[in-house]
Amino acid sequence: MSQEKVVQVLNDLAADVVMLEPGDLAGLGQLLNGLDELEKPEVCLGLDYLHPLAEKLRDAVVGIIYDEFAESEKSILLLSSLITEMQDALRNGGTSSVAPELAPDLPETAFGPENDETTVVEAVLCATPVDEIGTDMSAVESTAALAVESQEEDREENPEEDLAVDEELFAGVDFSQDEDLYQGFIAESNEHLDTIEENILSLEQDPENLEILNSIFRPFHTIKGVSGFMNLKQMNVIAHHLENLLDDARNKKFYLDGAATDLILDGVDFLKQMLLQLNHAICGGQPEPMPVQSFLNRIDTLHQVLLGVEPAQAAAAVFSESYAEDEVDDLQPPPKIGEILVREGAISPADLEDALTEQKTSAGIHPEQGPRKIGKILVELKKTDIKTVARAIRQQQQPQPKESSGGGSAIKVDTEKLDNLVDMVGELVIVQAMLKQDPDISALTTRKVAENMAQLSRITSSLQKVAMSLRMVPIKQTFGKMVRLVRDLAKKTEKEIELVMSGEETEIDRNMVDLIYDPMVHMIRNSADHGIEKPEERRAAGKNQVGTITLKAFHGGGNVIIEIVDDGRGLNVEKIRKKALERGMINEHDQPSDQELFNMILAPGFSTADKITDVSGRGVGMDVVKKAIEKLRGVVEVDSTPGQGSVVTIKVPLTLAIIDGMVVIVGRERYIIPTLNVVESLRPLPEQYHTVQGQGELIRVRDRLLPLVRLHQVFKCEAQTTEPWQALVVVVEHESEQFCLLVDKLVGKQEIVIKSLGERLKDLPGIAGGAIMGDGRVGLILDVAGLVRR
Amino acid sequence: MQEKNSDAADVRALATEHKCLTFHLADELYGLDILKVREIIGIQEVTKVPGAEEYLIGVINLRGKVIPVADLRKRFVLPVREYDVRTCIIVVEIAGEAGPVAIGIVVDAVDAVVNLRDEQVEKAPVFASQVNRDCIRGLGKFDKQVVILLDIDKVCATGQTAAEDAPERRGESRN
Repeated sequence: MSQEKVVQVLNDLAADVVMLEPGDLAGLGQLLNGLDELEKPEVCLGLDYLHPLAEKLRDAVVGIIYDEFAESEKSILLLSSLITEMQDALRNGGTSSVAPELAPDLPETAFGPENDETTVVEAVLCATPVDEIGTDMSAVESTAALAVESQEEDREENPEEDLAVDEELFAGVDFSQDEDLYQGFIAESNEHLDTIEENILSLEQDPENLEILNSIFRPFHTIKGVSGFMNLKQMNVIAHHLENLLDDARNKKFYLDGAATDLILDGVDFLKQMLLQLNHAICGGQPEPMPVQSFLNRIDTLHQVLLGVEPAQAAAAVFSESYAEDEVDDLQPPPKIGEILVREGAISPADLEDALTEQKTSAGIHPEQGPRKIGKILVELKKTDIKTVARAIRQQQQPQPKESSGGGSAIKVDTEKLDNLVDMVGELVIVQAMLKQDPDISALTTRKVAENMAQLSRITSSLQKVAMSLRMVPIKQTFGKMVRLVRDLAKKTEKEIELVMSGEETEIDRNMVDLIYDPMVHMIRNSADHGIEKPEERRAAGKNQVGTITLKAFHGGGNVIIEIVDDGRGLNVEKIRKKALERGMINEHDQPSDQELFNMILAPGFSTADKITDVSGRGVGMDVVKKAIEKLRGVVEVDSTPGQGSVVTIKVPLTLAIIDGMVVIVGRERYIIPTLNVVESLRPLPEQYHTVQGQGELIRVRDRLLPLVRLHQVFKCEAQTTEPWQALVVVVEHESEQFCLLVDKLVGKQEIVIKSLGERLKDLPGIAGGAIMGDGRVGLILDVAGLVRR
Repeated sequence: MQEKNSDAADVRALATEHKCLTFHLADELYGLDILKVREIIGIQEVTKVPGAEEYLIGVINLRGKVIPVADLRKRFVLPVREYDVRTCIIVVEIAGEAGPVAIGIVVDAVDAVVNLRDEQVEKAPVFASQVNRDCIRGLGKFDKQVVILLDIDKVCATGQTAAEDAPERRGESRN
């Protein structure tokens, strides 16, 4: 009976190990529990030969909990090999005396700083099919010897490096098989790379922060893993090398300095470039070759340099000191294990004292081994047991990195599904309105019906609110990308710039996020290049030599307002006036206000920069910004105070999906004119109507003669009236060009959700899209710009 | 020769057994691959879209989505007639630039779903019908009836206006 039980426990253990990931303390704890079970006398009665193996397994688990193995993945492999051995031993009824010898002598070697033995075992296990272990000892020995030899030659050897990395990108990868898979990989990896970018910049300010380091390490690790799985060898190798570099930094072999940060950022760019190439390749294109090998060399060179320049024994000593003394320094590291244990009452403060003394003494005896872990010392001193320590370590690691985006958990949803949901909710609202207005239902006087109808409308309207909010995301993501931009710009222009952000939580339509990115980049570039002065210039002007660019986002009047403020030299009004005169935008006698002049820099090709830099100054940019923002139905404004800096205000609507529209009727059709384009509406008197030979019809509106466009003629439908003085004209405007639209009736103003008419009906002149009206039918939205061009 | 081959391939593509939705249009019975059909809805008021191709009579609201509607009578230049209670819109999915797009087609009446085996389908003869031959995948025969199997992707393809087809059609009918 007991044997069956042992088999079962072992199987459970094996399953646990398979699921185990590095750093998964809960999983390790479970392993320990399983081992306890195994060592109960009633369970392993008569199976004494399992004891040594179980001991070793326990030691290995404990070692992993203490994080004493350099490469935790390999140590997990070791665990699984040990369990396999136990299973084998059990099957052979204890005859497999070989196994214990094969297992590494853990207490001595594996806990030491060098754990070659474990890697050797791992190499053996890789080289020899598991079932041969213990049956063919000579083979094992020779393989092990080989492994040791090759390891002595090159400890860092990686199997991946055997491949010719400069071979054609993605050679031998068949994209047709799993296109979705690759596309998913690209999207995911890009997200990971963005995370790295954001985090690495905070690391620069706080190079010792392990949390940040981990949050950079993890994405690289994921990219490495997935790219390997997808057979994208070059990506895998690059991610792997960067990961190695970071791993050593994590293990405090060195700190990442500016050069290393630059390298990692370059690595991020390199990988992004590769992703682009990958995308290109998936679409059937030929990927361009990339200098994978030279980049690898760059990483390795820097890695060697960093390894060579030891972080000075002193620094390490200081670090171990602070660790040992439980000092809370300004970095605010997670609480110390000792503290947690004392708080939990697992040990007394006196025990902790003892352990700390022990730690210092041993550090003094074996300085080269680095500080010993306090938890381990406590266990050795029999003050507490492994499980308590493991629990404490788990607690210590609990506060997850701040990047885990606060507000609860999130899932990714296909935008198409989201759009469908929003569509359906829109329909629900229409049906609900129809029900409410149904004469038969309104005729019912039962209270129950009235109550239920009220409940229905409450639920539908809150459902609609939720559905609309699903599309909204915080602007944080876009702001986050600017951090890197400003850093790069500051380097390039040799200035010191600090980026301050506020209102990152402001929500904006998901589709808007991408569209607003480029204009923001342009504006920030301008601020950094033209606005902020060089440090010496700033000092001379009595300003802080570090310039500040402030990004602000907030809601106001149904819009999202983004302000880009710099405290640089401000705009030069005289220069702009001169330039405007040169370009004939104003003439000598004009007296434009400063405000008007500032906004002239938004005109195409307008640049006052004395020299063109590779950052900005070519005069493209500002008008691009203006165009892009206008496309989003937003506005850009510029303001400035000489010597104090300038402010660019971008105002965009909350969402692209909804516009304010004026509903008009022409014959039997309904059209919607975007309110943005509407100037006024009037019923002209017959004397306001003029015809001009060759010019068509005109309506005199106050002092101006505006061309008349008969909508029923343009759209070839029957109007109720054809005489302008019996109908209505709506004065519309596009790019300061005004004209009158002749319509039959004006129904009113309402908010409408824009719907595309589909690819069969796109690009029709004068029609911008469709909208579902209150009665469930489709109304067409007019494209005023298109009508002008007719 | 090549054209014949591709036609033969088209016929073969109609699997061994094949489900078709049949419908009436003018005096003929037509069929559509059932896999192309998303749903059938009653005729409803259509919003005219000015400037669109003649046979695209407008757009409707299909549960929150705006989809175009094509009148097959107009598409095949058949005599126009008033819609009645049996007039239907069959919502089909046709190949678009970025995946399938929905489009409604107005037919006189929907008939049935029939099973057609390969041997029941023949290549369309030259003067088969008033419909442009490009749009026909074959002729199906069952229960002494003949059903014209349409290639709905081609029927609704961009740039295929009734006017363009008309001269060709007249030419064919003279043959």
